[in-house]
Amino acid sequence: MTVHRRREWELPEKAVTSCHLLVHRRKAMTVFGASMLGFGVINEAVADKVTYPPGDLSGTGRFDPGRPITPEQIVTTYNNFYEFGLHKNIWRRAQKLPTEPWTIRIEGEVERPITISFDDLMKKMPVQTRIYRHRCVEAWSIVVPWRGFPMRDLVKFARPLSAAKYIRVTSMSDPKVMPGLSIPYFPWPYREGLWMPEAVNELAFIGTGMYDEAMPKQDGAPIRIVIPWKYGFKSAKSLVKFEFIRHQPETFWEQTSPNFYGFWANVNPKYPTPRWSQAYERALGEGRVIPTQIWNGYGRWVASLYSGMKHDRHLFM
Amino acid sequence: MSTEQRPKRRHAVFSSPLKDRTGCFSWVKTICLTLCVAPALYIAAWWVAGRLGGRPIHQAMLDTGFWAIRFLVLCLAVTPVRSWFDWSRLIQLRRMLGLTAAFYTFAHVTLYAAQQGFDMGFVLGQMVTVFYLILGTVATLGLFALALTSTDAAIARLGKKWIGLHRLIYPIAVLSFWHFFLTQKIDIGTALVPAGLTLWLLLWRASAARSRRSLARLASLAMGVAVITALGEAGWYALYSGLNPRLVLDANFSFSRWSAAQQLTADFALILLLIAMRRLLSFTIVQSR
Repeated sequence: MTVHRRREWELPEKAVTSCHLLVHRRKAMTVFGASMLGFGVINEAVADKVTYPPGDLSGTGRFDPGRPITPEQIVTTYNNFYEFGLHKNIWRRAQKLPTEPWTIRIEGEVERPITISFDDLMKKMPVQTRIYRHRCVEAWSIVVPWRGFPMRDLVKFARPLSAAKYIRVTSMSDPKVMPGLSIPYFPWPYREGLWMPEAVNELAFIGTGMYDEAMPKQDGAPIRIVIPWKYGFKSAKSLVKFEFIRHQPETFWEQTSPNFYGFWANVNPKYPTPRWSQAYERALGEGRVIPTQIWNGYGRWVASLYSGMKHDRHLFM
Repeated sequence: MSTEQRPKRRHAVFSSPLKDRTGCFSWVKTICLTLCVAPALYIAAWWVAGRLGGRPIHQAMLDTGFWAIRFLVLCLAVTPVRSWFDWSRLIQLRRMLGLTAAFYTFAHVTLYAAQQGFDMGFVLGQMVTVFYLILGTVATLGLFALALTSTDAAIARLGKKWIGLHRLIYPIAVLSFWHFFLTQKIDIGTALVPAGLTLWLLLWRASAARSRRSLARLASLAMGVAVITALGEAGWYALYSGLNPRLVLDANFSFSRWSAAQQLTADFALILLLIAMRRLLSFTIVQSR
């Protein structure tokens, strides 16, 4: 039996999803859907500055996103998941992804490589909820109530050797259900990576559900990473492998488009991509454009990780 | 005081899209109009059914933009297709197709503004500062100028100048495609197919008048465009991505997925086949007389 003792900074269940979304979620979605048809347009406006709450060092407000939770309808129907197609409208197609059974391989510089089923892993992990802002490199953002566990717990469970300096995660690649894999010149499978100090930072999270339900397939069922201070493409979906390695791994987008996307990919409004600015982001569901903040507003927890590094474009793309 | 006043000929500003020049009902124009309106209805129906995804305004903006490009290509295809199929009456569809491209462009820009909450300061600011939006803005203004001078009255008033003005459709097409290419995040296949078709049409126009009727000439142009498309695709990835251009070229010889050059080849083959059938048919008719 797993006894879960709540630590002081964890949110109690009731503080997680705002009541009107949780209790009246279906209704809220209907109202939202209707408003998108006729009047949704009118509400959109360009807003000025947003200040995120600094977060108290203990207690329930620790990771308060400072913005309303994005309607579930948007988060589950507007998805980048290139394995299923190069556009956002892939949620129907993604339902074909078989997620049961699901096995995860933990290997590389660890005491003992293992293969574990998703269900068995979940029995060993302290499941909790975190509401995070999520900023896509395409200049839109959402606020999502994730369920899952801290990535540092997975690292602890994996028992890495001291030689392990980075973690590489690999997404499922199943050509039977993923038409995107038929594009032969993309470096499939999707791979992402983190530097070990990033992976054990308390913000780094493993997502296994959202909005108090199991993870929808289009959002990366059954297991994904959630790295809120980096651009969304770092938060790889539907993971089948965690490798502990010595050297900085090559990642999917870094290989695909090295002028646009790098390994570090920390959010910073000051460093535009070669084609578009990162200064602002469209807050989906809020109907406004807001200024983007360095580290996506999570500097208090992560800025110190990079204090010894040069703060140039390299660190922010 | 003159006893006789010659009635001055008035040119219409609005003419019915269902009737031909002589004022008779035209099936060809009616069918064409239906096909022009169909994508808009389709997008609207998907919107209402909630099938445009999490950001319907954004998706409708992308879709109308793509349809604007498609109708632009169809408009440019009228003259070549007339010649290939000896179907001169097709000219009566050109204005409708061009106007349809302008209407979809208008919808595209309006939806873009809608997405920004009609904050026109922001919208106009973006349209004149972001490079790919500048391209789109210039193309849009050009297309609107052509649409406004498409009435019978404007054609009559502009006289010979009209043709010169409406040749602007070529630079407008180039700007539109440039804009289209720059909006693609990584995969440019979607933009390459209509671009290849347009290149084929333009190369045909540029050929000597005597070779224009030759099917062999048209086929060799098609092959050339397919090769240019494949090389262009690989070149784009070589310049703007970290992907191996060899793999991009190799993909043209694999059948796991239709590459842009393969799709174009299929399109070209179909059109050439139709032209050949048309020629064969008229040849048979002449022989039997």
